[in-house]
Amino acid sequence: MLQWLKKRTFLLCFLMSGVASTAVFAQTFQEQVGKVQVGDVDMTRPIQVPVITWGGDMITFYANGGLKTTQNSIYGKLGLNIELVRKDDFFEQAADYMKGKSPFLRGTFSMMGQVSELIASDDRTKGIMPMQLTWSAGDHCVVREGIKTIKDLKGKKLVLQRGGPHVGMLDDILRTAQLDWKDIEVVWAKDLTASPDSPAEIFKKNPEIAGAFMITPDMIGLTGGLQETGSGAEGTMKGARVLVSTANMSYSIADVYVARSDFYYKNKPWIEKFVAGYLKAAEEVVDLRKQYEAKGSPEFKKLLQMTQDIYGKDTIPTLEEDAFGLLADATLVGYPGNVAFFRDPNNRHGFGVFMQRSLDLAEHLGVIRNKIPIKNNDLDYNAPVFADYLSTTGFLKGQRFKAEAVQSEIEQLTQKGALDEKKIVSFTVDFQANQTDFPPEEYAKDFETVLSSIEQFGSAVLAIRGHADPTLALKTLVDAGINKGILQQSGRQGERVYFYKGRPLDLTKTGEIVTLIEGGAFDHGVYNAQAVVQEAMNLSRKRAEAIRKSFIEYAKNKKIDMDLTQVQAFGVGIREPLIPKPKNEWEAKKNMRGEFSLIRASAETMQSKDFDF
Amino acid sequence: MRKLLRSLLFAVCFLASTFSASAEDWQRDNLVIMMDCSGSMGGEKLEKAKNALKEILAHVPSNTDIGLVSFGANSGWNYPLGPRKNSQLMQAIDGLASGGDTPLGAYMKMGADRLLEQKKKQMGYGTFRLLVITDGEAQNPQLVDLYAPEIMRKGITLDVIGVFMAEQHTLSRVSHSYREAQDTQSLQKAITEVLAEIGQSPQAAVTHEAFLEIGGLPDEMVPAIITALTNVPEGPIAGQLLGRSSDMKLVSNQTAAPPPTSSWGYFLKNFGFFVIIAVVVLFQIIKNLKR
Repeated sequence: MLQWLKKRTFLLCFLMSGVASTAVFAQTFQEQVGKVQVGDVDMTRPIQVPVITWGGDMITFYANGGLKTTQNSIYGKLGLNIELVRKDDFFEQAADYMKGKSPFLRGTFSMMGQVSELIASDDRTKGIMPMQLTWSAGDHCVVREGIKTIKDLKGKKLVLQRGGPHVGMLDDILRTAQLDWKDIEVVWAKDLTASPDSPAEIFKKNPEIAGAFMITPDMIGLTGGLQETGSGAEGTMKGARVLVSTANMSYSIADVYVARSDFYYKNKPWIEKFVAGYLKAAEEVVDLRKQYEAKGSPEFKKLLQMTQDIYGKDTIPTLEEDAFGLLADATLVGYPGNVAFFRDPNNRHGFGVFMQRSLDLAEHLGVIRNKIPIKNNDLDYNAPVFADYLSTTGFLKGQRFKAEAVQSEIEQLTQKGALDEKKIVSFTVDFQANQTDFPPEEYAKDFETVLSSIEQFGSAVLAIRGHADPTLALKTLVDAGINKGILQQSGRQGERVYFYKGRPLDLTKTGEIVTLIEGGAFDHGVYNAQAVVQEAMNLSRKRAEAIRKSFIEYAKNKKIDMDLTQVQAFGVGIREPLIPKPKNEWEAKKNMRGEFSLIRASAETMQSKDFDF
Repeated sequence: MRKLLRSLLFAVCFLASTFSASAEDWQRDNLVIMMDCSGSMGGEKLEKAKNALKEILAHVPSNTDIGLVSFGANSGWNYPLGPRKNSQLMQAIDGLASGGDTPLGAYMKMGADRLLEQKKKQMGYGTFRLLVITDGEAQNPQLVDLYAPEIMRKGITLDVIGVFMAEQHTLSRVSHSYREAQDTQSLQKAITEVLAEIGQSPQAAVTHEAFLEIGGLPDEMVPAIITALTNVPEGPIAGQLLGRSSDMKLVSNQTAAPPPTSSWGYFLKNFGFFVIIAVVVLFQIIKNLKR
């Protein structure tokens, strides 16, 4: 099932072949490709454009009307003559590119980092990136019971496909957790899926492995679903759950094209039409998909059929599940996404940041020796070929989440004590008693840590949770108990012993005391513990709101435009103290804290969007 | 009478002043006033109380949501819980008319259920207060006994003002605060105590003494206590509390029964019923055998 993802990452298997069981690889990419004679781009025939097995490439099929440009297709009407060539083998792609057989490379951004040194070896082949196609939403890190947040991955064994798209994803996760590759032990799997040597199968068999990187079908098989935990029944693994998914870490895996410099500069209008045509096709496919889901669409079904015909039934066995799933796991970015990616210098998940990171990772893994960046394109996105031709040219990002649904879901998870299972990572900010003001400059270090850690998590909620100290509530409860004669006390202050039913209060009476509290026995009268609990709840929310305001202001000062629905404040009150029975003010202050948590909110809390950027 | 009204005014003013000003919907303060307009409140008593309410409610912070519910000639919601609109609220108070019995329990539930509905809307944040103004015992005291503990357990502060009461109202035993409107001094004292509790934030009130006081609680018991305190059941008042035990009758300020002093007494207390059954069965068996 879904062989397409296996193919998508095939190329990087080669890229990192010969690797020892560490994160450092023996040969560079260039050494593994071997010597290639660089040639000019062949302009005598249709321009060869590589495609790989990915949902974003279905848009290219639609734009081209098939593997060869048809007259009535978008590219046909734009006057382009293209031959799409399926090239899941990135080494072959790189060789064709260098020889001039095709002026393009097609892969993920981290793959472009791997090939960067090779293509920079000749002036003609130096790379320019003209377009981003998609973000991934279908890759997942599944963990065993006991791993609560990504910080818990330290010292653990993780299995992932050698050289697959999850290498970059793991790199992003480690950075978020403020960990390094040396903090984990990697077990490399040969295949991505559907084989005994795939991460999911190795993970199942080896209990020493704490987590595995896999694609959607394998994730569902092990856990039961993105928001589920495996029960052990129906093939699921007991306790297995998704720790991180690109459904939440939505800005981790970018799929892109790179063009040769010589072709790019000599054929700029052609490049503009190629990009504009793809973006137009993306708009049309988004509309067709909506029609298909509402009442069916023969046009959209035709695209699904075309996808199956091109990839074959081995890769895409069904239209409804596999072809549709292929597209659903790819999040289109469209025109606004491309402008944001290539033109916004403050975009923390834009071209500049990705280029730097992919080079750093490639160097760290040993597949390049010199970091030579691929160039950003110089397309004029305001030119008529884009502005007059496309429909979705606005930059209004819109709200990512339904704020009320997020509030309701996280409150319910908190009340059930189930929020920990949805946490990706948490950071704590301490504050003082009665503190309600949180100047951005004072918390700059904490805020920066949070900001740098959430860059890739476009579809996770940043919950700011305020916590209060339980001392006063406990004292009020004790006072109420004594006042009502439920408890008796003896001993001097500091050596208090409480009695219940004439005997010293000890652990064996926990059940009875809890029953009395739940039955309301402590409530009436002047000592109102419930009111103290309520006040603590209100206060902790007010603090969380104040931290949120300050954090957003900090981001704004850094020219980062936060989606306000993504950052939400919650009051936890006294429910989750770090030290349930503080002995002094210092311990009580440990309980008074603000907690930033990245939460995997359900799909129901998200606003439907055509393009993500 | 003037003294009484001054006391009433003072009480409600203080209650209203405990609500903090806030603009956000999630942290709104909610006050439901439940007015006894039964036959016994007729005539001058009700008119004076209405005038007092009108004067006081005009000064409640505008971001405090108010509801007015009464039983009497115009039973039900006279002013539904929501933002204060002065002219409509004053009109509602003017419309209060006396007559009929004192179905206190049922109307307490009505007021509390509306507050709980609001609490859910506000995701559990904010403040929720039910103020009962009454001059007589309920005709159904068992309902008051049934509902009052659950109202408090669910996080509603229950304040009661007994007006013209010869004896303490039943609710004096099952409320957070009870104030007699015939004794200004004791009323002022009680209000001062309430304010001392409510007016301070939890962290501000924590002193070194508090750490010493809770020091006597068994360490391992404390997380369970915190869970019990914070896991407040949702939903309307149902007349039952989960886990409500037999030694929790609403007899406040009474020491729980001491443990039995002898093992024989303990045996009789816990197994007496079974002993009687066994004796009866044995007697029947012997009787049958004799036949």
